Amino acid sequence: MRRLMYLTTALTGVLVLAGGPALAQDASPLDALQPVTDETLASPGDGEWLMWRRTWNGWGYSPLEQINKENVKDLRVAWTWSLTPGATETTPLVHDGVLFIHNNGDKVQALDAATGNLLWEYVRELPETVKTALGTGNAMSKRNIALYQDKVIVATSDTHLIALDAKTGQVAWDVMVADFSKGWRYSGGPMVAGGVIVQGMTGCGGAQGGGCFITGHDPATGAELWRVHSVAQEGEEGNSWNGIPVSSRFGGSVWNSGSYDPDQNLLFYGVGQPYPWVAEMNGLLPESPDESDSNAALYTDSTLAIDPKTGEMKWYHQYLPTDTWDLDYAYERILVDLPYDGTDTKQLITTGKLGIVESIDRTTGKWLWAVETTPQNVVASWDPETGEKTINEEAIPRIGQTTVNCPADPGGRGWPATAYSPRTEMLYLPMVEFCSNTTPQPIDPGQIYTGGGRATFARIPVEGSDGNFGKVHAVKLTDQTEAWSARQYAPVTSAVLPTGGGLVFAGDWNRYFRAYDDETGDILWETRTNNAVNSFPISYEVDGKQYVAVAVGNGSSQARSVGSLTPDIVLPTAGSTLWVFALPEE
Amino acid sequence: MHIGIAALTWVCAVAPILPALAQEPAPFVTEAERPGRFADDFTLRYCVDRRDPAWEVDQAIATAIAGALLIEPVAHVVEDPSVREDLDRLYRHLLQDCSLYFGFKLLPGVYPEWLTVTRPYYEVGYVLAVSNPDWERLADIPASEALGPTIGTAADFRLIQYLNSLPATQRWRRFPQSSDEIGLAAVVDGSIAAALVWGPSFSALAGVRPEFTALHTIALDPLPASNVAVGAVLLSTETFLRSSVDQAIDSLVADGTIAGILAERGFQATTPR
Repeated sequence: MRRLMYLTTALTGVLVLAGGPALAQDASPLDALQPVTDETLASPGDGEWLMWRRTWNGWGYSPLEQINKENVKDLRVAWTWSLTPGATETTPLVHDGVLFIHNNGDKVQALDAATGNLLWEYVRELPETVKTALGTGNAMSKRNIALYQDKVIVATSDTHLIALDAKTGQVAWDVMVADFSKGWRYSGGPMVAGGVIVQGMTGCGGAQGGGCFITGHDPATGAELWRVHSVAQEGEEGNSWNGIPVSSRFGGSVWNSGSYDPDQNLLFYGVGQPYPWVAEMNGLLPESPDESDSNAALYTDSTLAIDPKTGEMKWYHQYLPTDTWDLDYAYERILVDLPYDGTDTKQLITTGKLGIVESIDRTTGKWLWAVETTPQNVVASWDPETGEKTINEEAIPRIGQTTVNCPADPGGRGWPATAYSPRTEMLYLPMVEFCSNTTPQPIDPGQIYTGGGRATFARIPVEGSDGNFGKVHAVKLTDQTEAWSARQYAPVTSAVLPTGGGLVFAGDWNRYFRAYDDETGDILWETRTNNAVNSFPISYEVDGKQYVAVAVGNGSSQARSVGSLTPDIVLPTAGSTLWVFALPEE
Repeated sequence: MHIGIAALTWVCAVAPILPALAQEPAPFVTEAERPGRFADDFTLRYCVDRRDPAWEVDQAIATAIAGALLIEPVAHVVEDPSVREDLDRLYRHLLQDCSLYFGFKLLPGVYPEWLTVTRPYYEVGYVLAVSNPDWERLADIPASEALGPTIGTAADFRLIQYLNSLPATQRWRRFPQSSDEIGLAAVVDGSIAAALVWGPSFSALAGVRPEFTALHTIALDPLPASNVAVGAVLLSTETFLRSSVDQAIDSLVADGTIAGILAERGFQATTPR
């Protein structure tokens, strides 16, 4: 290896540029790196992975088919790369043979996607207070970064949005969006749509009232163009917060990236639940006697449809009013055009922590259909026309009582994303089955320390459990039937990756990374990695060769929570690694 | 797939006897964040936090505890600016900075298994702060007014349960506040009638925010008394240290040392009975 070319310390980070092999003929892939345009984002090459779920429609699907059902048994390690230890929820991005990856603690690296050679690295100089407050847990991890034009866009752990030069890693611009000390956090990453960078904010808990928001930014400067509040502000939609003022409304975190429909020029973002989770605590119960008030808590647990140019909210659809369980509907939105009720319909499909797959018409927000995928006892039924849910009153947590909730806080599905394959017209879901004895608790054991006090969750198996907690589940979207369900002991903790080769890749808490037959769920290949598989696997192509990449690492609260169901599975506290697989050379 | 009501009834019926498979695991830390076991160096390494209004009183008590144990007190004064922290941060402090962290309420059920609390060294309560001079107790406040408890505190839980027991038309409106300081400011600006806050916070904030001196505290009744015992937290594995500190607290309460510390600083708290 050629030695480091130079090392420079900037105001906001340390930049390391590295060369490839010393031989002059081995040109760096950075030399051929082309700007990412609106056109390439709209129609990426098959071998590219340019954004969180690869395409604006949120499918998380790779059309590559070199690795297929017949040869996947030969899949082996192409290269590995050690990442910063800690929670590792990252999504690698690949463009023109360069793989970009975010490490715990806001280290961003560009690697040769074929060899794993380091091309450059940026390490953010986070304030000491941020580092000490967040450690190496999931608040230091980011689920994705974004590529646009000649820049890598990063949402940082001190709630800045920054742009790095994609060829050098140098900081192009840096804007502070919110004050970290007041509780604001980034955990999901940015997306670029309609020529605007869009980023959701989380951490809108008890430190400050008014709820969370989504911001739109100028790609050239980072300047904030608009801000959409994810919690209804004064006068919006009446008072859906049980009569309490905006300053007493908390939550509505936007903690995952969104989807985009270029035909309508609409962004779709998911919103989390009210804070604190228990409705008696956050003021949504008991119900206000004023009949003009409701306690739906808009826009929590909703899909927001937003114009990316102006930030105007065109419509919203709320899935779970008065969420008192921490049952987010804050995840990926999958856009499919499939027949419904005999008519081709532009659908938006999402699945909340309840594991209920729900479809709405993405041109109007009208609810279409829903199907359950995992045992739950919160929703007793729903209206087949409107989707309005009837809640099981016995599952509502009450102060001074313990209730049984199925599932509970980490969810029947968590942030590891579902995915859609146009090959099979199936939705694939990474899931965990469990219940919880839930007891609301005060949140002020100390004057400053408030964690762990919203409720205690004593997790238990579901009634009649066969001892398995994890499963990869497949739903045929054309008729909403279960296609297959591959059950296993360990919780499934990675996003799923369907491919054109007829495979579905997924990983688990027990370090296994597997390839399933996309039509049957049969396991066709597996390997055991060095840590929890708790990120977003991708597939890409360089010089005609298909690769599958997945990062592993311990420290995510979601994975550790569901991992507590299987205490016999022990993981190392170090060992975050990027694994890249390929078929052997013929 | 939905668990029907009949099945649900069974789940609820058997739930109390089902063993809880999983409690919250200890927070994640990497090897680099674990400094290893501290040597037995005859010191009492403790943390106090400037964001806690009682931190100086707690520091004096920590010094007295160290004296009772005939070891040297070593203070780590936490200076973080964040408004709120979570227990993960507390875990790292207990691994890296101190063995005891002072200023935690002895509330049942709020602490994870990896954490334990010492015996209390004083008891102190929540107060209801108002600006209306005609009000002497909570019951004097008209039901049309809004109360502003700091969200989710032990006192707020009591208020919520009391409100739940009232007919809807007789309930005060409850506007939860994100902090004691914001709640007191909301009383001053008239957006709520009363703030239900931690007593030491009210005393400390009145000393630095002149506008809060216009507020006064009134009796909580018909809510029950709000005193809460306060101690220090430490890792559950520190059984010998906990036993030693508990004995020291007992002796300091019995010989009047802690009462003297409270009186000397005008701190409105009582020693445990």
